[in-house]
Amino acid sequence: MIEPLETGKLYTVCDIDQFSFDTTDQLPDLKEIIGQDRALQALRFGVNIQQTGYNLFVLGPTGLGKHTVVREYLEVQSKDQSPPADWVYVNNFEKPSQPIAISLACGRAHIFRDDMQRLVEDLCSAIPNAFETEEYHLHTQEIEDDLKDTIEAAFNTLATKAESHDIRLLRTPHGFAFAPMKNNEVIKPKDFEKLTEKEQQRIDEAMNALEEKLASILRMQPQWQREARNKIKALNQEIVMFASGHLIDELKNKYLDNKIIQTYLEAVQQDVINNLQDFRREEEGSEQKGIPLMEKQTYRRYVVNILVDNAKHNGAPVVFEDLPNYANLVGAVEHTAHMGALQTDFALIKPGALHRANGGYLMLDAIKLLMQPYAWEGLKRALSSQQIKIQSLGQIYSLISTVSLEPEPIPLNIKVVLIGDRILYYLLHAYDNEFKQLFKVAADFDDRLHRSTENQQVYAQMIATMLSRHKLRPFDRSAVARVIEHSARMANDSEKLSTYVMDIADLLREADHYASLSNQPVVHRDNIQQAIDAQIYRGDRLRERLHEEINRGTLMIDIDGAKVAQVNGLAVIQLGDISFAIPSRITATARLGDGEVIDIEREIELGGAIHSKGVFILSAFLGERYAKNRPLSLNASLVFEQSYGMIEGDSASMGELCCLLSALADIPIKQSIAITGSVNQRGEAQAIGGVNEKIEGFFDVCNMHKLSSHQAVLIPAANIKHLMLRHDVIEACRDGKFAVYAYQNVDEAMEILTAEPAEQINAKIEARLVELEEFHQIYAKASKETSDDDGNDKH
Amino acid sequence: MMETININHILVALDASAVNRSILQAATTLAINLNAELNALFIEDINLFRLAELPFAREIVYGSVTGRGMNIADMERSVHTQTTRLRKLVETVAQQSQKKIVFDVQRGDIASVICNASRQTDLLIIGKNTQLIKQSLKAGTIAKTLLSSTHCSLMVLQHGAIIERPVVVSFDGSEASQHALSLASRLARQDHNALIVLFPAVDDHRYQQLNKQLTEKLKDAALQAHPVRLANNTAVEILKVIKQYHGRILLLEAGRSFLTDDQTRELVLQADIPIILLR
Repeated sequence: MIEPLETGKLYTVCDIDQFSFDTTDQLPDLKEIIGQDRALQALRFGVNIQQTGYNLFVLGPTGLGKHTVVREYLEVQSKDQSPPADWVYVNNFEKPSQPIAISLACGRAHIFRDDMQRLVEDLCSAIPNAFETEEYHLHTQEIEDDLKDTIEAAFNTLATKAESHDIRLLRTPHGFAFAPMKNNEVIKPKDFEKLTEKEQQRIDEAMNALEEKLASILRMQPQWQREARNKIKALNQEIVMFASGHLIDELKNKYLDNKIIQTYLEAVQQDVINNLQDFRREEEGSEQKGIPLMEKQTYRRYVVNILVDNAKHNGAPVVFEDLPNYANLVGAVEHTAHMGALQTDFALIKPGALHRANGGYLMLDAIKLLMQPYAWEGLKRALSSQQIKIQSLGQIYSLISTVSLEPEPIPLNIKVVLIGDRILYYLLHAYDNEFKQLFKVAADFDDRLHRSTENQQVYAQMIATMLSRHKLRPFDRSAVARVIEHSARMANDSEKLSTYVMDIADLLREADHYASLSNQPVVHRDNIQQAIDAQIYRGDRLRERLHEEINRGTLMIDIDGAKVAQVNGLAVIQLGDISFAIPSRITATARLGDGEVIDIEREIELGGAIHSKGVFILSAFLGERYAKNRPLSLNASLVFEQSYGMIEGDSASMGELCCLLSALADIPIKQSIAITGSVNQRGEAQAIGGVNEKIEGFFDVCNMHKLSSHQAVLIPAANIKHLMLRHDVIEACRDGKFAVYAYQNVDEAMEILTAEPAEQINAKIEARLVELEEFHQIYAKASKETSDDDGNDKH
Repeated sequence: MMETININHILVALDASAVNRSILQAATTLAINLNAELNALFIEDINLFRLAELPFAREIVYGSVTGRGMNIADMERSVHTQTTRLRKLVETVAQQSQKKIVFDVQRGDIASVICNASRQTDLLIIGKNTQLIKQSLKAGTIAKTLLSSTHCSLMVLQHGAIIERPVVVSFDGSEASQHALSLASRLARQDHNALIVLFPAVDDHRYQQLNKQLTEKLKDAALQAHPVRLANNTAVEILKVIKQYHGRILLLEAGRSFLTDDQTRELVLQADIPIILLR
């Protein structure tokens, strides 16, 4: 007969004697996260390789400290790198809709901006002064006088010529007219009629000729005015060149190494010439008063819009974008409302995270990125083209046809580090071809590590590091050991430790809190246990309710006696951070049939695929073991009683098999024992998950009444290494009030459940199946005879 | 004791040009300063109506270089429109400045009408670069007539000019120049400002005499007189002094002035500040 497991196998204690420290404040900080060698190596490789497409995807469940590890590593790396160039956008005077991007050495962007502001200020002073000189006024006066002289000379000549014909040039309300004169008066009609025909003709011809000349003068007048304007314009240009030339040359010399700035400054000079009226001294309107110079509409086009200023960075930038939507990633062109219309210009170009991280590292949460519309596409486009092109979604998808800005793209040199769950990585890898090309390095964070003595020492060091980082009280050795033991329980494996540093950190903080309530300078084991118990209690409402209903008999669970075709299975429920198990009654029926085992859960679509697989396996086991050479004349059904939700997993398949065998053999099963484990086609027990919760679940239900010393849980032998049971369960086992059995196969399980030898059980089952086969043949023969009789009658 | 001149009545002659508003405003300012009555006069040029009666009369309109026929009805209508517009302008300026302005319209030969009107006024104001007086006086018979034949003092205003200080006045000791000095001191005194007094190019002895005379004349005026002796009696020299002292208005005796008629005409032509020719 199989013996219960020794208590030493139910819980692997962390030996405190292995620790040489008294409290954790004696331990040095850990330099690197533990248990993530593979991920760290991938991280180092991905960061250091300088090839396109070698961006990183850091994958692993939430709570492993991926963000912290990645950020800390990148920050260390970035310090050794030189800060990247600054970037600014300036106006494109030829094509204002296509602002020009200029790269400047790190920290020079704001210097250039200030230089431009000073230049405009200087121009505002120098140009009006230049235009107020005596020489300028003289020049313009000369040009205007020339124009007047030209016009008046033309009119004077015309008037003189007219006078020579006794004709005068008069101004009418709408223009000019020639009038024949006599005695310094316009000739009267009757006097004109008295003139000879020849004289009248002479006057008429003279007036026609004069009119033609007048028309010619009027035609020439706009041209003369244009010529005068051009002369003034040329003079103005000379003055502006004179006034601004040295100022702009000074700047050009300062930025001699930057050809784009040279070209830009030349364009600025030309623009100043073209718009010199903006610099002429004029009274400011009330609207413009009090507005800083460079914010005035007039001078806004000379603003330097600093997109990226790396002056404050010691090394390459490390940027984490918390809200990675499209605009926050690739930048945006903002608008201002003016008189009810939206306006924009190059000064309203705003940088995105790609701009800020250019030349360094950009960290993004993969799920947040994928949830933002078009952000993923925008990121891929930027990484593929290796440039940041600011376009609105309206432009990209042709939703808006209005003219907008098309800023010059900025070259992109960046390492993007996406952080997300494994499923995201595998889905992207499977379905997005670009992803494979752009994110070639996967840094896979493990959620557990081997619980070796060495690792426990390092784990203690990690605990110490976390305590000092979070400024918590030191832990003594017993507290550290308890945390390590709990870590193994979190990993659901006595031979492993959990790497969910977030959960461990929470536990440390909470234990520190309890220690603080009793003014302890050091956290002890009790405080850890207190924190663990409190965590469980906070999430324990449903478990308590279910236990209460079992206790009241609403949920029918027998924990003593024996019954045929009824067994206690164990179902794990995961709710938030808490997982627990409750016993669930499994029953079976067996009757004459065609060899079909009906899983009622599957029939009503409350059984998952894996659960159905388990039932099919046990069905196959029946045929293999008991009806290898004859038909299985059996119809059986299996059901989880009082189960109204989905059932998934095959951890109850051994229990279901035992229940079915009990039905076939008509041997009662002890109800004081619960069983968990999956079965294969050979009847061997296979490991299941949540073994600790399952044992504790049945223990709690039994403990609500009174432990009978017969109550036990059967677990697959392969699960022994996973046992990290609760202290009260171990105590009960130690006192003989409860037991945990490990079994290898169905025969061992049936022996414990029925207290009968396996051979006897199997013999009864075979006898029953033979009996059923005989019944089947009798019924088949009778049916055939009936059928034959019916056929003869018909003939 | 200084010889005084009374400007009790001012007549401003308007024409159809766009500069009327500034001229009318300047005239109103001066009338208010001198507490004088102000009349505005628009003369409908009789020659235009006569021309319009001629069967072959044609006019070349602004913006079009081809001529079009004229007739008396159209001319009447156009001139009436001009008159109406001017009347509104006068009303507006009068309302804004709260100065009564009597607007009068006469039809006739412009020069003759103005000359006749100048008999009933103390000061006639005309604008420069208007139809009434062209910058190039060679072509303007009206201008010539006005400069030589008006019966009262004449003020010529540049477009946009306003009545400001400091006042510049010529003084050669003559009766007319004393009148000018008298008016100049009145204008200058109203603003407690300096008075620039131009002495003709004379020898030192005469200069001393004039200076003494000036001091005598202004002893009660409480003005800061700056006597300036001209290097020569030309328009150019006067303009130079005006520029040097930033003079904003010039008063000059007409007729028996130390300037010739041609130099006076040249001065009126070149000056960009208001000039008052006192008779």
